[in-house]
Amino acid sequence: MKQFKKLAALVLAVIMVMSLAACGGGSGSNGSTAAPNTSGNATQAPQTQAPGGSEAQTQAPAGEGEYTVYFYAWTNPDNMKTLLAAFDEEYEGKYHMEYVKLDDAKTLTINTALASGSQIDVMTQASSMDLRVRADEGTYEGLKQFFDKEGWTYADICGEANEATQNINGDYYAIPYCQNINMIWFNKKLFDAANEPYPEAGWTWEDFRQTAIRMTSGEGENKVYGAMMDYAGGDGDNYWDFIARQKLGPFTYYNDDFTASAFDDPAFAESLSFFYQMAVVDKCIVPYDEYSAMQYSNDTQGMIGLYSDKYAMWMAPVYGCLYTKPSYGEVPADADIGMVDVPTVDGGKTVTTVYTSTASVPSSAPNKDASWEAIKYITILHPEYFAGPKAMHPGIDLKTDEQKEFFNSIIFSDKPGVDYDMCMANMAMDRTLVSKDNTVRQGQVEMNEIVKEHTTLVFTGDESVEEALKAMKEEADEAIANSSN
Amino acid sequence: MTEAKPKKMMKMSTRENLAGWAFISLNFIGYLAFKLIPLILAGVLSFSKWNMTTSLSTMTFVGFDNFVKMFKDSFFRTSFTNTILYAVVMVPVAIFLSLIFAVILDRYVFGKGLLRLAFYLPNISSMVAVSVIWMILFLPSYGPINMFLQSIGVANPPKWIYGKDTSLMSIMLVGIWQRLGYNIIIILAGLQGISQTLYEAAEIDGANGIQKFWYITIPSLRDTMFFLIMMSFISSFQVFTPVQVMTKGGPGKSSYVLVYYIYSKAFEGNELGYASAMAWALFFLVFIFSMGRMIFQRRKAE
Repeated sequence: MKQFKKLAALVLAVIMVMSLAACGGGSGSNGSTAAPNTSGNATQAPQTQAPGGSEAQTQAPAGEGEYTVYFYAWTNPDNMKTLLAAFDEEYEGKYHMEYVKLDDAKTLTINTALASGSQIDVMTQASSMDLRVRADEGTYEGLKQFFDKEGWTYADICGEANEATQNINGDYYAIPYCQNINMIWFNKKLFDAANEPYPEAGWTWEDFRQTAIRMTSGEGENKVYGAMMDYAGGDGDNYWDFIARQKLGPFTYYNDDFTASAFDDPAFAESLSFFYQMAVVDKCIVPYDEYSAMQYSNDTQGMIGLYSDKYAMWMAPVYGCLYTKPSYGEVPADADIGMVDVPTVDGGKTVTTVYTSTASVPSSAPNKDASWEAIKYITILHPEYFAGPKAMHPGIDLKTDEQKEFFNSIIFSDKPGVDYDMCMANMAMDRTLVSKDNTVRQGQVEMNEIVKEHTTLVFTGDESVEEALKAMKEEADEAIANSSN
Repeated sequence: MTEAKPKKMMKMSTRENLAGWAFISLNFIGYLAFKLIPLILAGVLSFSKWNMTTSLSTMTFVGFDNFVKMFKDSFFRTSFTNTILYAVVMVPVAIFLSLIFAVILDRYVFGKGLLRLAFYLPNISSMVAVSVIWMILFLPSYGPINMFLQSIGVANPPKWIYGKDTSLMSIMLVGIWQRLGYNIIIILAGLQGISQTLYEAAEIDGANGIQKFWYITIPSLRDTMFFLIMMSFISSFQVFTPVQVMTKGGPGKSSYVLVYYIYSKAFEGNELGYASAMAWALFFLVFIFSMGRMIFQRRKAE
């Protein structure tokens, strides 16, 4: 019996050690199946393991002499198949692309992959702050050199709005692969039932408010709100500062030289007061508590709330229409969703906000030319393969009406319940875009905490607009000063 | 002809020691890899500045800066105070209620098994799922709790997790509700270990129910209570899930607790050094408390 116990203990110990070794051996030990093919030799049969141990999506094995490009992103692997096939076909004999799906856990998986030295040729990032930090610390390759080689300028390819936010000390460390333009989605069925005309571009914020008041009806759990927007408290976007952004332009939270915050600007008081009035006084917009409890910060829930008649209008990015696809839930047969530009300050040309998702090349990427070809293919040459399936606009500046129509048709087609013609007509209109991307590092993390803290107190009625903005100004200025020291 | 050498035999005690080591090696390797080494690394990180979005080579030594920063950080101060408050209120209330329910379940009700199961179920339920349900229950406008309160004449029911002054208390309520089942099971086990002869002797001496409870039940449960208090405080200091799911520290910073703040700094702000320093502060909080309780218990035993 004693012998058996010893044997059992040793066997179990060996199994434990081997298991631990297997857990930790992802990055370097699986070279036989997934090692980067930097030597130009053919890689082995179909790869199923990415360098960092994550699961890789592959269409076909790398061919003879092909270099394997590893692309890390959060996209659903099903939406990557077309891109991978098209890239491999385009660069047959030269490059082969492997997709590595990152876990949806903030930045943990990509950070781990970066820290462990895994081969990453192109990667996406979770926020502009991550981009800025990595750019400052030399983790990313400057991309201006490649633009120069191509004879392109960043502003011409990606647009002025993106150039303004992506320019970091004269270089560019990321290319937007998609742009999320904010619009107003509305439930046409509710408007028809209320004999309310559909909103049209060029409407003002006061028009929006009055429409929301008229569209609000019922009580308790049967209450239908006129509108819904993301507050700063959840994981979602936030819209309380929309009017300020329209008036002040990019880097809204900062003064001109980034040495202080801009929360004392009257535009912030106007913006926060306006949405406070709608949420707390008029009660015509989904209140903060219901927004949190119903998980409306999740865009899928946002669209479900709209077509389920919980509210008549939804402030959201264009990609909101993606959530009418059957894979996100069954849309009622009579759903009828329209779309219109956001209201304006003065009834003039529409100014709306946009935020981007960007891709970069790590400075550790072994074959920079391959990385450039891949990022160029994904973001500039064929954005329809990556941004398109996600119902997002490309990061590049579409020059012609044909290009715009082609892309819009990808975004709005096959979206049950969405008024395709209305969306196409509205999207074709001219508008000015203000980027919400914040690539300024000074006090940004603290400022986001401060904004979240005080705006949630305003929308729960625990703090006045004046008190909140005064506190935000003082605390944000201190955070900026501390981070500059 | 040479004489065969006797086999070199390992000493019995050595062999037994080796076997013992082999047995504990499974647990020990896991402890090393997933507990001790990360703990030491966190200690190293707490004296450094490192943004997790960059490579390890960007890590810089900053001495005690992270610890100094903690005391200047209003979010940390609030989180620390809220954590202490949560533990100080939640633990005694949960244990007191558990004791009452356990005594009732032990002696005064039918269907003990079913009731024990009912009380224990929240403890084995997913805290994420439970928190989402509580979010609906707490809805000020048409949540079941406030609808009930309004139906019995409460004109202005609380805003629960959606109010600055009530958010932490609401999280405590959820914590107590979830903790009850576990506490009851442990106390029930303790109650069943008390000899009936003690109660019979007390009855002969003319003790009433309260006296028996106070002079027999409570002292006999001393060890059980000590264990429960220890475990409850430690788990209270580590409260995270209900805050993450229900309030995200808000409204304002009214429900920030230490572990949530450490998480947000580490994985949202990517400030690993600062987060590690706060994690060590939390460790010392738990450690000091545990040591204090153990010393107190030892002195009492002597």
